[in-house]
Amino acid sequence: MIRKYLVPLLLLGGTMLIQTTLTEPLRIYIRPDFILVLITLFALAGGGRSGVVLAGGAGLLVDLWLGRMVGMHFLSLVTVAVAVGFLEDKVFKENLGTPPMVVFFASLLQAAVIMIMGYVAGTRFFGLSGGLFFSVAGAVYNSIAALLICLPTFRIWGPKGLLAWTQGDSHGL
Amino acid sequence: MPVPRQFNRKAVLIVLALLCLVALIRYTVVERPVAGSLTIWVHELFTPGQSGLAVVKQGVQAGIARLSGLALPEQVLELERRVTELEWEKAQTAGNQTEIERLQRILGYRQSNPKYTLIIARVIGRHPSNWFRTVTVDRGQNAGVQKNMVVINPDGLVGKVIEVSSESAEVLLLTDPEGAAGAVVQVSGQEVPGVVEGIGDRTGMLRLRLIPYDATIREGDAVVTSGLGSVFPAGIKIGAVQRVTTDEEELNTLQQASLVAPAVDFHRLQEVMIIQDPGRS
Repeated sequence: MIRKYLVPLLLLGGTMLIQTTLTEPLRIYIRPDFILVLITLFALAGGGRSGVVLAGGAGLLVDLWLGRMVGMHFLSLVTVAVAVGFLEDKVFKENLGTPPMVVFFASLLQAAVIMIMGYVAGTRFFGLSGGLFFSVAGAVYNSIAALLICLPTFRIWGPKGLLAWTQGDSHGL
Repeated sequence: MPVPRQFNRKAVLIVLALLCLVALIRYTVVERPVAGSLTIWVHELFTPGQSGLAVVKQGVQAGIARLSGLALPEQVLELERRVTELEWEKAQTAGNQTEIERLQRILGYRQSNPKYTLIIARVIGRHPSNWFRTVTVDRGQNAGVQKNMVVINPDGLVGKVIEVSSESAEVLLLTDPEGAAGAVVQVSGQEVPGVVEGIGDRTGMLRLRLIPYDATIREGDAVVTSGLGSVFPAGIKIGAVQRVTTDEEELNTLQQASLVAPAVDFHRLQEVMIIQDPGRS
């Protein structure tokens, strides 16, 4: 119970605090999205089901932060978790290059869902070129962030570490 | 070949859920009728942590900024450690000095604008997503902050309050695509009306639209709030005209548009002022 719910909850709360308080945008208004990185790594290590639960919670939190376009982040993050969950047993997770690469494509997928939802909702969110720029620049930034997180902590959080432990597989620790 | 019933049910459920989500997203594009208390609850949950982290962050930033310009004179380890300690102490003082200067600017603005009742607030966070431009400030209902109050800093207009909890408030920045304000361009004694909107792109520029086709505006002309509408009082600096363009969305009406460089540096927002009572002017 604790390992399945409390640890992900604490991870999400901590990531949310870091994301809202400590990340500063570059001059081009891009910040690393640690919430997306967390969900992607979680779904990659633990599988789609647990990733979807965390993504749903994170998406709701982000949506309710502003109360505007409620459901947009929920849908985009859950989509990312489902997609990464499909990859879980198809990629070589122990390779350090895998998480940043998956995070890159997950960021693009999330941006695509957000742009489509923005278009459907009829809001003048970003132009196509602005949206594409944000998507690609954000994806690059997120994958660098994922690599920087993975380098020193891969053994701790990785497929045989903390995240495996939260899924009930404790032989990694 | 018949489709399995289980697949059908699952697919229908997913499609229904998607439709509900899209409807919810559309329903909450501008107004936020469903979010209200849940949004306040989320903010109240995170505000204490954000406030604490913001203090630590500002202290570290001040220290690093000071230290980065200094070279240590000795390579001896013991001396190096001692020097570092002293530099940190010095940096703290310098950081405090920077903060004092910033606060002095705010107080100066307050004294030179007695018509406004101002609440000084510290920026403690930003929206978690890259797609929205909002900041969280550490003053809320308990300090007298209310929805739709105008937020400024000594440089000019920052935005307006869109959500308030007991100890914090969410401010929609003018650079957000949903941010907009009635404006006038000050052209040699005349005032040309228009509407300033956030673009939300990587440049952080604003778009001034609905300028009459016969108005002559030039690069560098000052843009201030017009006071039209019920939110923003007149005369608050917004920025300066950067480039005059044709209004792509209003081509048929022969109106002009221009890009406006905001007066406020939205990357460096630390303290802001919330106008509690613009009516006293």
